[in-house]
Amino acid sequence: MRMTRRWMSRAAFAGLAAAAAMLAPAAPVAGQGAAVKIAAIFAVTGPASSLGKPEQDTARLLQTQWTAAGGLAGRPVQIITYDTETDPTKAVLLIKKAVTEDNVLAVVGGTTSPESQAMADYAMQAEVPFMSVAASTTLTVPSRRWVFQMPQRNALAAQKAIEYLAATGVKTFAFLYRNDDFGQDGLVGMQTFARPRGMAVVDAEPFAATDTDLTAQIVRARAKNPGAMVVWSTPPTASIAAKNIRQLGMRMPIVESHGIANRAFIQLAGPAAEGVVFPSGRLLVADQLPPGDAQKPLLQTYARDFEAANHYTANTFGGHAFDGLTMLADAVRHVGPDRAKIRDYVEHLRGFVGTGGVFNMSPDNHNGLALSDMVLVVIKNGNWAIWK
Amino acid sequence: MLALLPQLLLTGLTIGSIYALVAVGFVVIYNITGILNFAQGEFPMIGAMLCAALLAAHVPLAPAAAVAVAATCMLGALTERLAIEPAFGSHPLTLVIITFGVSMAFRGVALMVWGADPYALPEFTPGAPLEVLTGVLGRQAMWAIALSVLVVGGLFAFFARTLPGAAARACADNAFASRLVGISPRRMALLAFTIAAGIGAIGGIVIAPITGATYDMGLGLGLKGFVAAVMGGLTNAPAAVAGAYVVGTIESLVTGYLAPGYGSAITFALLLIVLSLQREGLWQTARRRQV
Repeated sequence: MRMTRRWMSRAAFAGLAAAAAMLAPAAPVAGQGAAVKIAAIFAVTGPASSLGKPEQDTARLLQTQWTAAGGLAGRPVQIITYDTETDPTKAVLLIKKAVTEDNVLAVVGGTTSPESQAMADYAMQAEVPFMSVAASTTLTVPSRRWVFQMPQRNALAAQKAIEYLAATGVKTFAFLYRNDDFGQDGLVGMQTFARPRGMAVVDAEPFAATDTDLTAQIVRARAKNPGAMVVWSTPPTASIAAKNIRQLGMRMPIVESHGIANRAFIQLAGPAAEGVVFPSGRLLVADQLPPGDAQKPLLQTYARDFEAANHYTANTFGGHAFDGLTMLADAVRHVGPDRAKIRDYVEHLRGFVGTGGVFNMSPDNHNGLALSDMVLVVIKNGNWAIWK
Repeated sequence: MLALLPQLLLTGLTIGSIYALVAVGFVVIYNITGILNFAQGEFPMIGAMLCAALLAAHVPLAPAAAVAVAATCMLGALTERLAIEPAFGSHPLTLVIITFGVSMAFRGVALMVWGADPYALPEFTPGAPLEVLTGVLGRQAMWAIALSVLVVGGLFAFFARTLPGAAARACADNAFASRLVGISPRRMALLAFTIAAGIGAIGGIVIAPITGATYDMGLGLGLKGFVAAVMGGLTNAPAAVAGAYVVGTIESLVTGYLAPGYGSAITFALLLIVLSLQREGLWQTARRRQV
């Protein structure tokens, strides 16, 4: 009896082992030594999925390219992707899982600012390099040892938006914002940079990410006679705002945030998108850049590869994931797979050309982008053009 | 302050028209089968997404909409056959949980098929909005309002004037007795899901030009439609439509006069109040339902 049971358990064990061997991914041919594992934690589903999906697709694209190139620094590379469902709680659980169970070297992710904030706290505690793809200024101001930020910060975008308003002689504007970390941060930025230019924010109207009509907020703002409408959100609400403003017959300029830097905004807003101006990285207007531009070759290559792999237009959000991952890859190539060394390397990275701009990191600045890394883009005939 | 009122009321109408057709779908299924179908919000999503996909393939709007509605009807029927029918006769709570599962499955498949980006549909009749007093009402909102009235009228005619309608009413009234006279409650459940899916798809196609269509729009729509249906007593389609406009108006007035962002919170608080006032609870009212 005992013999049989032992035999059976052995047979079962052997069976399991065989099954596991079949299920396990084929070991990469190229590279030697332990795999370089990087976590890519994005909001692939949920309200921020139009940002998180291209981020994940970028991670997959790089995985393919790096594997084909023989790995990183002679080691096989493995980008493990996770879906937060746009839930900060889930984002924290996933970064914990990535670090403690999957034993990753570094983390790229945190699609929305609330997710990134929560993940940054954990990254600090676990001492893991964390490349955030969210735009909230407070993520890296003040600077945090293990946290780096890929997108142009909200403050930078706000400064650029104010530049446009000043150039067109606008003195007052109303601010419509999604009531979360991203929108509130944008409000602070706009208020900060409007004051020295003698501009006034005459009204600030929050809305929820799930709202389907923003007319109520807009008529409240209209009562204050603003010279322009500034909207800080992502589609669909960002598009609904533009549509509702035009529907109400309001003709003043509409300025939006870098959160509308994808095709979805133009598709959803339709004719109301015409003439909307927003600050953005250069990816959307890569083909219109002058030949000598430092970023142009990289932007064109990324856009071409991304579109070939995914059958939809590359956008700046995927670009942020690209910057985070390639920055880590650059670090691994130079200092090897060591968390502390990678952190030190990234902190002193200068002149790194990414999709978001040319990064010049320092201990005080874990974002490294400047105002010159943003351009003002205007939507013309359903397409992006550089605003002169 | 008063100057805002006309526009806020019109905005309420617009938002209400978005919820109305979802609410009617809830009522149709609940009336005939006693099931609260929390996958109801997914039918507008699928209708709108299918329509957008057909438009992208250069099919004109009218045939694209017709095909999308027909396909969603078939999906509704399949839902009933594959998910609800096998559990026929289970506790209502079990069936509710099944509908939750169905809605998650739809959302997951939609994400895989259409991706996460929002899709747009063109307005049926583009043009300047209608000006009423000092407010404006978009043309698409007028379409949605008109369709919600038409659909309720059509349902009324169907249930009052046609034989299958009468059979459905009989089944809603007393499933056991109707079985004795040869009406199959299972077939009626199939009919209910098909009709509700079709109504949902019409709703999705008419509201997509206003809100855009995303794979995850169903959850929010379903919840708001449910609130509207409960406001109307859950068993009465015209009352559900009225409930939808009440919910829309409340959301718009709260946003306009109190604090933006609290519209949904107040709506759901209202749902709690309405539910606690219906002391018998939802399962009991099911026995007293009528079409």
